[in-house]
Amino acid sequence: MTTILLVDDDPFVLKALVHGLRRSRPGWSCSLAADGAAALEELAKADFDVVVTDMRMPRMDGAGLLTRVRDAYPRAVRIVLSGQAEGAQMDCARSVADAILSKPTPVSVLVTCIDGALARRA
Amino acid sequence: MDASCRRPSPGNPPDIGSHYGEVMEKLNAAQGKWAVMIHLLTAAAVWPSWRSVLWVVGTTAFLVPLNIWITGAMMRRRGPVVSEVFRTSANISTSIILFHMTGWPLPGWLWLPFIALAYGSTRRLTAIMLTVFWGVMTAVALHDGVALIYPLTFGGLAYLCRVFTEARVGIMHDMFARSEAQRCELDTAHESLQAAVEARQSVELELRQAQKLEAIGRLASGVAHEINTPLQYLATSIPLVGEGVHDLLRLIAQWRSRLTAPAAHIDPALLGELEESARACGLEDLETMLVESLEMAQDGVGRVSTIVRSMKELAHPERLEKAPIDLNRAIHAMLTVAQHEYRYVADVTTALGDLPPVECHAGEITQVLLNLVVNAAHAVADVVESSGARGSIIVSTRAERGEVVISVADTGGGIPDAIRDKVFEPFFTTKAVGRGTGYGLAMARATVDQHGGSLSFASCPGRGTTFFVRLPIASATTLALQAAA
Repeated sequence: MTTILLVDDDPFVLKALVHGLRRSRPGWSCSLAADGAAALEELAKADFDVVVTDMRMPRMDGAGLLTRVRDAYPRAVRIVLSGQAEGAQMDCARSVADAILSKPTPVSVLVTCIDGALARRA
Repeated sequence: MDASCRRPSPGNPPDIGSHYGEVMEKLNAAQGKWAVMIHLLTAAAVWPSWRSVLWVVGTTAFLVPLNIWITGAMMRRRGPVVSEVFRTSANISTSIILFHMTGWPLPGWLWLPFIALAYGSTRRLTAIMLTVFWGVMTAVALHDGVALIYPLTFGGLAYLCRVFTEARVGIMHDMFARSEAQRCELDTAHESLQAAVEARQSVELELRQAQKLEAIGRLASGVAHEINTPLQYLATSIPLVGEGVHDLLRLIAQWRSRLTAPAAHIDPALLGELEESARACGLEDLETMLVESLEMAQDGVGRVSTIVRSMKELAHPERLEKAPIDLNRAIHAMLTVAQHEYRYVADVTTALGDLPPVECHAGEITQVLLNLVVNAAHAVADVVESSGARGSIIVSTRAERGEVVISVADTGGGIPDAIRDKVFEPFFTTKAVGRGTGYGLAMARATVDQHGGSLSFASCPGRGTTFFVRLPIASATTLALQAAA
């Protein structure tokens, strides 16, 4: 079963993504985290195949999280889903992410992106 | 220079009414040496002592009858009666009027306000001088000076004491002419200064506007992020709702067909109750309404997403160096953001050819194109106005011989021949206040020039205008590097 960690400080974004992914891929298991630090706590508890994260978040931003994920969990697919498109953080994120998606992104595109990244990783 | 500011020429003979010239000649001839001598004696006697009073009284007593004798008859016949002054002044280019203080039928100074109003305001006169009987005026001046000040207050510029010569009048005329010339120069300088101040104020206004736009641009990225977050869950949720509704409606239809099937054996009363509930909630129309509403919601989210994405692209922080950009994509973003300017007056069509990446400052060039499209929209709006008709704006691109050509064509009123040379001048505008600063095209041309390109236009009055932006595909720096390699 594919396990996905969704990280965003907006609970509505998380809820909507969970509903969308469950409907598109009922076999996938989604966990949620409200920021980078909470995501690291989740990652410490269980393995995840995919981490989908926002960029601007309290405590730890998306670039910081994905850098830590790349170092500690290199097998996990790293995807950015953010409304931000420019800036130093995004430049950093580009160097550590497998894919960058801009909000709003339809769930179908996110699913395709995850499928493709998982296929490449396999 | 203002037409009313006639610049008199010092040194030319004063143009005095001919009748008064005659009077003056006769006065001089009659008074002759006697008058001069008495004048000098009186001047010497002006001394603060009782003797000066005696001198003044004495000379006045002598001179008043003399003046009455000399001038009385002439002035009664030929004095500066105001109607004659007006008639004479209207017929010749009068630059100076001499008034007799005690003229006939009324003292000259009584007419002064009228003369000053009639001619002083049009600046046709260099000077209004008063001639006074020196004796009377000396006496009065020694008394309190009021009689002299009063006529001067009403527009007299100077006074002359008898006996005076034409040369003296000429000198005074020159003096006033110089003064008037200086006043004209000051007026001109003042007008230039005023224009400079207005231009500066306009630039300051433009600068403040630019600063405001810059601040908005800086905020746009953050605002876009804030908008994109709710857009994300709208874009995710609306299709989910759509799918859910579709599934539910299909389920209801399935149940209905089963329940109403002859083999269902369902209680007719219960079936009737269910059918009544379905009618009450408008089940027949519900499907259409829900599907259409969800389509609209989906379309709305899509439009907002496009606008926000375009705003982000336009507000993209400017890089110091030129970078290769996809101009066609920038044009699409610009047209999305500028929709509000043209959507009610014109249909915009694009004919975008295949372009290589163009090395430029993306923000600056997009601003130029935005300016041209907004101008085109305004030109079309002026033509269609409230007629309800729509014009057309065509934005096209093509690549040719190392450069790209972007054209913005409108079906507006065109640019009249008379102002063709001025359209790129700073602060030149034909738009109403608040609609244009007159700086857009000047700025656009400067920007395009800085990119090594050109901005030109072709216009047919009554049919429309097409602006052409030509930009080199590679910057001069890149070409130099390529040549060196």
